[in-house]
Amino acid sequence: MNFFEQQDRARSKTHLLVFLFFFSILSILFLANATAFLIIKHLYHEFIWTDHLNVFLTVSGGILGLIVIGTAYKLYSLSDGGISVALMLGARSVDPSSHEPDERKLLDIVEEIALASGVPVPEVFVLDHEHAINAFAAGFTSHDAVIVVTQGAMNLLGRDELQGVIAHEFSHIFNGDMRLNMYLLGWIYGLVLLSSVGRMMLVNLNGSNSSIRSPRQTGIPQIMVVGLLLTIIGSIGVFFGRLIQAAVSREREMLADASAVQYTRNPGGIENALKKIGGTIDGSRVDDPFADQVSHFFFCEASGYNFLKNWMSTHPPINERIKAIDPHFDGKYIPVIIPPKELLLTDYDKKMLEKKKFMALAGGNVIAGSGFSPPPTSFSTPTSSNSPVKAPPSTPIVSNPSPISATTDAFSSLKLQARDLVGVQALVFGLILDRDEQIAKDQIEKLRSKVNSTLFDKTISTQKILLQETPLQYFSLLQLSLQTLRKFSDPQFVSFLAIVKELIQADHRITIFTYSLYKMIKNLRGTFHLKVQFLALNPVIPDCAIVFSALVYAGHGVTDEALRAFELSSQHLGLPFHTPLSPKECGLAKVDQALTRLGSTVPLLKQKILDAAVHCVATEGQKISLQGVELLRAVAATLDCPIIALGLRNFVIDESENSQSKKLSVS
Amino acid sequence: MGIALSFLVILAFVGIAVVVSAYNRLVLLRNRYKNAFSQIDVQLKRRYDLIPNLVESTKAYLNHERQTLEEVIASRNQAVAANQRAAQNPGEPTSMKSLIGAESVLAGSLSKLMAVVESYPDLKANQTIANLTEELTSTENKVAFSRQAYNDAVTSYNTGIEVFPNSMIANSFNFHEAQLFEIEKPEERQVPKVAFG
Repeated sequence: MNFFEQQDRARSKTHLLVFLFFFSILSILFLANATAFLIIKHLYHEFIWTDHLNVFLTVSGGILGLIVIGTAYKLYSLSDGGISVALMLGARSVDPSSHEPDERKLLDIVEEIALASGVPVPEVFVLDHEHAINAFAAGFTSHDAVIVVTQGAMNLLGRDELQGVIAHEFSHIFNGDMRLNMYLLGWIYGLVLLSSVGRMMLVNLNGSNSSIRSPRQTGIPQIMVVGLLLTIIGSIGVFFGRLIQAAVSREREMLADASAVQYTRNPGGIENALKKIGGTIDGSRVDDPFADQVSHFFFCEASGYNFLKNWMSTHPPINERIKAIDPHFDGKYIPVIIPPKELLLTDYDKKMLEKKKFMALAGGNVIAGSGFSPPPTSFSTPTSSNSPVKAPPSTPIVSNPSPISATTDAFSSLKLQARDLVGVQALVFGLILDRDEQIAKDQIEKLRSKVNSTLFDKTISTQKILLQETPLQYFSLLQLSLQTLRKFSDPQFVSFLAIVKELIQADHRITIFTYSLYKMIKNLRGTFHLKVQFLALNPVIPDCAIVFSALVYAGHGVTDEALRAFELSSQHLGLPFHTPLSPKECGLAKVDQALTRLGSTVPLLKQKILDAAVHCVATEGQKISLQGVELLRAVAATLDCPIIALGLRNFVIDESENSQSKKLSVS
Repeated sequence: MGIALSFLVILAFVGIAVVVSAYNRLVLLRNRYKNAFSQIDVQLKRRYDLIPNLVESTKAYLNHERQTLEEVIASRNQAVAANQRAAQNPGEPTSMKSLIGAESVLAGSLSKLMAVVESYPDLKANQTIANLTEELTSTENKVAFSRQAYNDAVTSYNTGIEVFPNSMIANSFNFHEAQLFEIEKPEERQVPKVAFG
């Protein structure tokens, strides 16, 4: 099963979710009204519908209103995306340029997987005071996703194990589970709010009563009865809420485990991580009071419920999960005691630590954690978009890190630059500046008038280094930059984005790369929600034609080759077109609109469109130029698809071709 | 039970929901600026680590500038202590103000040291020292940038606790105004006063 099919299943889960949600609201209403009925009967000894109609209306209206307000509020407060969940739990965001060995290990793992799969690098958070082993991913799309791990997971797991856990979380991002989980969080909040309000009434009144209690007032105040009733009735909501959480989450965990093995090609990693969790009492328990609300996000059971264990568990039992990965599992867990920190480090980490000490002594720049292979190699591996989850592709998408020495080559210095708050601005400006000196001239003038001299000089020196890089690395650098740009405050972000926009427009031509750069940066601020609108191909046929035409021109220029490529991809998708639109008809504004519409197609359709798009940039003999791959990555990223989801397995990437910048001209 | 009562009950429900929501909103805003402080913290620590290195490597050349070096180390140590206190409860006015004070003293003594380094050609030519000063300057820039981000977050939090109905909740649940992190530039402070007339 590939990403698109899994996303599709996540979508159909949503229908079940909606059903359960309404069913639980109905049960709450029924119970509340039944209680009201009994009370009235008890008070008046007789019952006439018309006399008490307003009571039932009040009860029902109040409860419904509360659930609606609760849900609406929660969904509103989640509109910032994953970061709001992380902050709700009080997580600390990890600085991308951190040199602390454990943090570096975590950041490097996240970067590796994100770069290899072509999604923006998510922001990484740590739950500082949680010593158990757990982790989760939150967000609506890969653009606002965050990865949160407990301190325990960061410290107690070795590199391979942590990689397994992070890969599991990434699969939630790709499979659409994360998005489903976000909505679930909002809805369950509404259901649970009723009992929270009830408890609040009980507790608060208890407190205030003791201080102002008068001797005459011996009976239980009415409002306390209301509080008690609300708590009891609300517990139905809690029950259903947890049940929904459990039902939706449980089976998808197994899938995510399998995907994690598929990404890392290392069953041992995630297996040992699970064994370590199993080897400790409460090995994955998270104590934060907000943790219950998000228990369905976590890598492993986060709450310590014992009651109704099988029904309420958000995750399958640990031993079943291990058995699914390793059928020969003998039930032996790995006991974890929290050892002195040095012992937790793997050889790789130790080397990095020594290097760090050495570099600090030498007084030079500290270059830590370059332990990842650049994406071009991992990208050229065949991907198995149509094979079942457990059938491994021949090579992992995440290559295991080799402890390479701290290289000072251009790419690693740019990578370092992408991680710091000031350097990243120069880097992004540098990425926008055209490779052609003549064209870049206007842009440079523009830049000079917009930023201070330090940043300007830095941009110019960055651009010089960038000229040595291939376009594919441009894309990776953009992905890395995004994680640092997330740290900007709103005013900082707004002014930065404004300069980016002016720079892009300064040369009067916009490439697909700069277009997707702008889109991806803009999407960082949580307004990016792809809603599924189109279930069939028909309504989006014109959009496909626009995007495909733009792609063939960008890949081949206005040549005969472009015509053939268009016809090929058109056939592939079964479109009624033979020739591409004229370059004027597929200008950037049109492409933007078309891509937005294509983004809201159902996952399975998206897959077909992307598969066909591959043919737009491939030349005969099934070769794809680096330039073409860059374009595809840009389009895939705009559509919120991981690049590994593309069916590139039958193609050879032609790295020999001089990747000359071919432009999609826009007047 | 009349219409009035049912109206009251609904009103009470809505009121409580508003309280809960506003409370959560304030927690979110508070977490946001605390998180922004941790970004400054990272950069400040990086700078505190660099300073002893710089002092170590310039020591050999600067025998008769001992006082400047000692000043730098002393003010650096004070800043480290102040930062530790501030990091425990970011935004708390007293500890933030002492951090601001310590930081501007440090900035002053550092700029003095930089001026000295500039005036020794031997020092300027030394690659290690050049690297260190460059690193220090770039860290300085990052501190400034993350400080701005922190101040933005604090401002939106401070506005958040002032507007109605949040202000009522802020009062009863101990949300206090947080302190901005603004540093006067040493050169601006040292502008001599010129008396006219």
